[in-house]
Amino acid sequence: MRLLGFHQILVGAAPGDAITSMALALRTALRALGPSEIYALHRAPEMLGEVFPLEHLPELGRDGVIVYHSSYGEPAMTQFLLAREERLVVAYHNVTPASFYLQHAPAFAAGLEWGRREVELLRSRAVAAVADSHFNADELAGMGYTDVRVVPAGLRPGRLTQVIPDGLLGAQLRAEQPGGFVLSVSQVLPHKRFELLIEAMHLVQWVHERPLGLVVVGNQRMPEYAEALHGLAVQLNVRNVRFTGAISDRGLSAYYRSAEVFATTSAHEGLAVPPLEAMSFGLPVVATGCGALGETIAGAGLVLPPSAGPELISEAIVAIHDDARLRHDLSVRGFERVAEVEAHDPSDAFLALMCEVVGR
Amino acid sequence: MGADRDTGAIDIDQIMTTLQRRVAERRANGDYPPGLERQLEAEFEAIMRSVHRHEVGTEQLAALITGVERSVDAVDGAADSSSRIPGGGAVHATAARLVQRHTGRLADTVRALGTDIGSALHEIQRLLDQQRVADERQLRQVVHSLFDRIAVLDHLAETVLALEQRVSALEQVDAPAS
Repeated sequence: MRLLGFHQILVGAAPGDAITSMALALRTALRALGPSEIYALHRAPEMLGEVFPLEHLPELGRDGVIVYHSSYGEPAMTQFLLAREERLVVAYHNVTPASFYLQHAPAFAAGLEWGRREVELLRSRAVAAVADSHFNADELAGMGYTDVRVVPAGLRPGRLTQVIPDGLLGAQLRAEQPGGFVLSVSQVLPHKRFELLIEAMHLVQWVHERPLGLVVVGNQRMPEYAEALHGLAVQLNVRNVRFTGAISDRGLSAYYRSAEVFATTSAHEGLAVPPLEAMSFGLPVVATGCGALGETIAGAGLVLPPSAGPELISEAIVAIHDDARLRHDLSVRGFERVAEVEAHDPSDAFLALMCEVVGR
Repeated sequence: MGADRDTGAIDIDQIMTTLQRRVAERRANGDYPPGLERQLEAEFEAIMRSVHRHEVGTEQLAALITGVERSVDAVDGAADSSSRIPGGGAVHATAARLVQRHTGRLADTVRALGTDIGSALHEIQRLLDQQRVADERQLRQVVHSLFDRIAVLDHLAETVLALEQRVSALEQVDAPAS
């Protein structure tokens, strides 16, 4: 059988975005089977050389495979996918529940709601379904998908350890954060619940009287939310708080190398790559156990109950700060966890699935 | 903290229990006053309400610019030479070659126009973002200077209180015994 291509489709492609990074890693693997490119509805200017416009996707007919990375709903994308003839593989990265955005960003909430509806609509067209965590696989099963494979394809949490860190930034951080700092890495969006972390840091600094600062690395996609977080930090007099916005891999590597603790207070995660990245640098991890966080961290960090508030979060941060043995033990567990994740290249499992799809 | 006595390895469950016990102790000691978490949450909700201005962000503009760029990419000056009539394809192909000089140039002009429009929109977006950042920075400076002044007032009030206490102590020492 002559296969014309194994192309991937994204709603949006941006540098540093987890799904885009996974698609790029997967493209390299898929090219072993045949021509493979990435197409997207929205492309950040930095991605124009790597990712093509959706309308440039060639007609491959039934001899082609398209892998659709689902994370957000756009009716134009749904219409496009339903009209295609190629064999469709749905790669589900989770769609954030719209409830987090209904009040402050209703248009975004509508897109999220449509994302879930779209996954349901594509069910009859899909020849295979892949999820990057058991949590996401369960959601797909809940939407009627059967035989969902858990393949975190393209996941390489240790990749940043190979990146030379930004030395100037490292020196700046040592001067700006003399008491060390807690690091959190994620897009700054309401469902990440950064307010909980700022509140916890208020307690760390003013009740526990520890000198730790806070650095939040990630794209500030919702200006109102970011502004409210700045306001909260000022209101609670939390010192040494830095929001970096989106940064380069060299910058991110410098932050991971300089931080004392990694923390995430997200209320919903389909996979969560940053805790694994932090572990690859030996950083102890504190997380609220929401979504796939518990499954991802797998006993290699302090996973608090999903309902944990700032009081418990601050206790966990202080415990790690004060206890060298705990820090060391979590660090070792983190290294082991990353080694476990990277022991088997998930791309191999994905390629095997593709061969099944095309009957090779 | 939470280490297994036999193996020396940490016991995560035991650590979680210790952390929860510490929270309970701090609540009992008054380090965490009753309703502290609710109060912090309410603080954030109030701030979130105050920043929610329903203003048009440049994100919408960015999406429109992407649309323009997509349309520019899609401009195609090639004439369709397919035909359902036998031999018609050759006629259409000849006609297509004839009109290609004009449609091709027209497509180039449209593409150039689209690119110029895209650049202009990018510049507008950049200016809007720049203005917003500058406004925010200025506002933050004003807020910080206000906080500084309030801190000075707090300090003055504390100094006055301390002075009052000293005066009162001196008055008690100097007061004649009755």
